[in-house]
Amino acid sequence: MPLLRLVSITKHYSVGGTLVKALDNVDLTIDSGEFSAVIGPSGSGKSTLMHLLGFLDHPTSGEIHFDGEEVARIGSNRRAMIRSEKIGFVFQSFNLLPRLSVLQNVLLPTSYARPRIPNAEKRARQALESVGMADRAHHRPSQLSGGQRQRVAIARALINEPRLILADEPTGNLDSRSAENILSLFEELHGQGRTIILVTHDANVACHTQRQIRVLDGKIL
Amino acid sequence: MSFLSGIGNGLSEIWAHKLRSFLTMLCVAMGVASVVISNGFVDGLFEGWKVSMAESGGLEKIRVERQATPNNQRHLAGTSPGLSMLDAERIREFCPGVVDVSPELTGDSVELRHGSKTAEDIRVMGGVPDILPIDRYEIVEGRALCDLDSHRKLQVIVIGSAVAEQLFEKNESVVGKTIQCNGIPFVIVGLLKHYEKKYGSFNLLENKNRVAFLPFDTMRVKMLGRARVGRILVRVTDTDHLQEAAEAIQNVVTQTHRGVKDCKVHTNEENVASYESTKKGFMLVGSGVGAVALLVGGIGIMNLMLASIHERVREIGLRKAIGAWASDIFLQFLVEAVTLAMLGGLIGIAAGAGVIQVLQSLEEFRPLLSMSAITVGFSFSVLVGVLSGLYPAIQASRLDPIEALRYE
Repeated sequence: MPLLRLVSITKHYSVGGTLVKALDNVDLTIDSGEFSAVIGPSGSGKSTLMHLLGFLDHPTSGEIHFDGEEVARIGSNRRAMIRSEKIGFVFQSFNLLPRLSVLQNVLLPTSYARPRIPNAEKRARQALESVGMADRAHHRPSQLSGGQRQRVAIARALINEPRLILADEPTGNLDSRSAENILSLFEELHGQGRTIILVTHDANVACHTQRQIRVLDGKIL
Repeated sequence: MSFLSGIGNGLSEIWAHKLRSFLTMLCVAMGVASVVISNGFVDGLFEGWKVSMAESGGLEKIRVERQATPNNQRHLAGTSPGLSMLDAERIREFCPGVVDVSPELTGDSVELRHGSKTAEDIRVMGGVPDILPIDRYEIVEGRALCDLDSHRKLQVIVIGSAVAEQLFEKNESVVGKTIQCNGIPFVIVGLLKHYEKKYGSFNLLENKNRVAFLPFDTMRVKMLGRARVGRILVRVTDTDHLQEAAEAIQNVVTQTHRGVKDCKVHTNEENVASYESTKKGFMLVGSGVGAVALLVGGIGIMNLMLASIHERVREIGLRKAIGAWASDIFLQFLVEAVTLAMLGGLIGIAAGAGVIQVLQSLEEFRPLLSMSAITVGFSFSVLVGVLSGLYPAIQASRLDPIEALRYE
């Protein structure tokens, strides 16, 4: 069953008066429960595609069907609500807030959930449990290794029970052993039925997934 | 994000940058402290003034006082009999709403003695029995003056508590004792209540204790040897028609003085009006100083918030990515600015209260720590927080999440 469907998606930017076609007439379907990788070199349109998949941006033209709704031309607050309810982000540089504890970092998305999430703290502890970080709940991010920080970031992505997990170069800042650990964690989450998209330029990372979506010059190959 | 968690967030940001936050708060604190202190001074003055006005007759009291004859009536001055008992009698007869009237004679230098003791700094006045209720005096021992005292020119006196204190031992009964007024023996027939309204260590009502009253004619004939009355005091019942009453009295007096305008009627309303304008002036100066300090504080907060946002661009990007609305980010930074300003305000109130406490123990300065000053000070700090946080919060809320997440 398709979770996400892009139809004839185009995204144009104007950079210094010249038009840049970051995505050009792209069609893409992601099924529920799929574990896929978007790969491509920098400048290929990979990041633009990720921004559209993560509802951080809207397309110049085309349709986006997500979870049964056409959502290409919704406003920024609706997009924020979709991000809050249905998308879990994992970033290359973790983006944990240094002054919050691990638990508070994981809880952060719940403070923007509308309506409020009941038993948020219990869910945060479960999310930390599922990434193997339950015993570090009261540590600060600075007290953790890179791999541990990324696990916390994944727990944060899981707390709102998203329909889609979007990971942008999740192993980019990690040593190879930590990277392997994180990738196996994603495989584990996929095994639990979650839909995951990794965005990467690294073929070794992409080979962990079921499906590789190659982007080049604004087109999907 | 709730308001409370916003404050918590603000506090942790402040704690993370203690020094710069503290310095910024200090500016707000100084502004609020100066508002609290200047308000305290004005309130203190006003409070004291209200009490002394009420205790010296309140709005019901009207005074007829001598004034210089106007230039165009100079040649008629001699035809006026001047202020006298006659005016008092006419006022009582012809002015509606008047309940008490008394002329007031003031002795320039009357010395009160008892044995070897002399009472210093006492105002000795002559009047008819009405003078006590007009000036709101109460008798605690003995009796008030009566018409017969004046009629027979009896050598009797009613004294204030300061006189009793200076001439007699503590707890000694004074009624019935004889004292010397400029060498003439007078029998004390009444003792006035002791009046006290502390303002710091200063008794606002001390003047009311430093008095002695003689019967009008006794004072006129035996002490002064002249009939000229210093002023006439009137008490009316209806303060809503004060102006009409004052005009009626003015007409009667001018009539009695054969048209010569050598006396003027004054009401305490004039004092209220002049006090109100003085108070406004003080408030304006105090608030002006406070406003400048608060402006400086506000600029400091804005500067701090802009720097803080600059350091936290990625945090803003992350918050937006995980579902924060622009309004959430706006509120977060606004609440942070307000928290900073409120803390500054609290420090300012505490400092202001401290300064007022210290000043209250001194004799000369007597400010009051009033609830209104605290409320005004605190509201000002919140207002400064909101105004100075507005622009940075708008800037933060407008950040594009993609750009913000990319920001290094």
